[in-house]
Amino acid sequence: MMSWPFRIIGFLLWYAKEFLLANLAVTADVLRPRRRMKMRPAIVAVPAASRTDSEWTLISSLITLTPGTLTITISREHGILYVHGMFVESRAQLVADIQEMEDRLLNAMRREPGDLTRPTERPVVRPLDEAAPPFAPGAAQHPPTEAGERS
Amino acid sequence: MELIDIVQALGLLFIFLGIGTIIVSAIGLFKLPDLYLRASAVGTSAGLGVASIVLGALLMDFSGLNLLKAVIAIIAQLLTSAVGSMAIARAGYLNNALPAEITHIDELSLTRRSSDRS
Amino acid sequence: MISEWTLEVALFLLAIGMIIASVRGLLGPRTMDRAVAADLIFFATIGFVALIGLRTGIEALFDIILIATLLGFMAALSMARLGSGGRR
Repeated sequence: MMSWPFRIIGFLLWYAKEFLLANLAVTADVLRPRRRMKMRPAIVAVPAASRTDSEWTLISSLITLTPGTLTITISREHGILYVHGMFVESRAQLVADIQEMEDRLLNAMRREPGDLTRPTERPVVRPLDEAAPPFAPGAAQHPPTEAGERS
Repeated sequence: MELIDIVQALGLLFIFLGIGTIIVSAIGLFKLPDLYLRASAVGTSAGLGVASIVLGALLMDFSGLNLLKAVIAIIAQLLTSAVGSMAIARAGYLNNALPAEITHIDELSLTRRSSDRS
Repeated sequence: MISEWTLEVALFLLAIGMIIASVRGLLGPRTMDRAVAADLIFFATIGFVALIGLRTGIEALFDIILIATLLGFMAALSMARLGSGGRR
């Protein structure tokens, strides 16, 4: 195990590499003709091992700073990061990528590794307003009553 | 004299790289279908585009004090642009901006209100 | 001197990028699409300031860039606040 300042420098170098590769991937996909675009966007709930305020802030900022992944919101009581990814082949792949970045960040930030356990069960999620109409299965994903949305 | 010319040419190269990134993001605003993908495309110019323009300006007008200011400016840009695009994505989510049809997994859909769409 | 002519080309290219982003901002169906376009226009404006500063050779160029990058996210934050109707 390297000492603490060197671990931070190592993480920054690794992150710079990831940042440049993600920039290249997004730029190349925008320039590709519409038929052959490789993007497969998804919004995935990623279980997170962050505990303190600074860890939550840093991991969500670093995810957003990498082009192609975007933190939409976090749920601290459930320990979940909701991440929008641009190139997602499967749920497990995006979760593995985000958790690798988080592992490296926490290893660099903490003087001792601490606990890296993550919540395992899926949280029960509800609309923000309690007064919202009850959830109808099948109608929620893409309701046909979209007036303003176009591509 | 030769060294100065090389550094100036390198600065111009970085400036054109940054401008190219901004133009690609602008094209991405039209080619990508929904808010979250567009915010990802703008993220490339927020990080790499502005950073490389500032780096190019530094190489064309180099001094010790400018180096310090440019490094602080690049770090500030990286930190604050992430906060800005997270705020925009979160506002879109609170405003029920739905992801495009090609989004194949959407684990936030259960938290969306089905009315109150503006 | 190579730089005078090339800086004008760079300003022209940056203007093209700003025009494309402005069209998205004018069309953009919802408020948040306009906010994303305005964000991109602001980043292009930082580039404009840097290029014009290099062209005219003013002293305070990097102070202007530093303040622009430090305060730029306030615009994005307030547009996000506007678009979400005050909810956070």
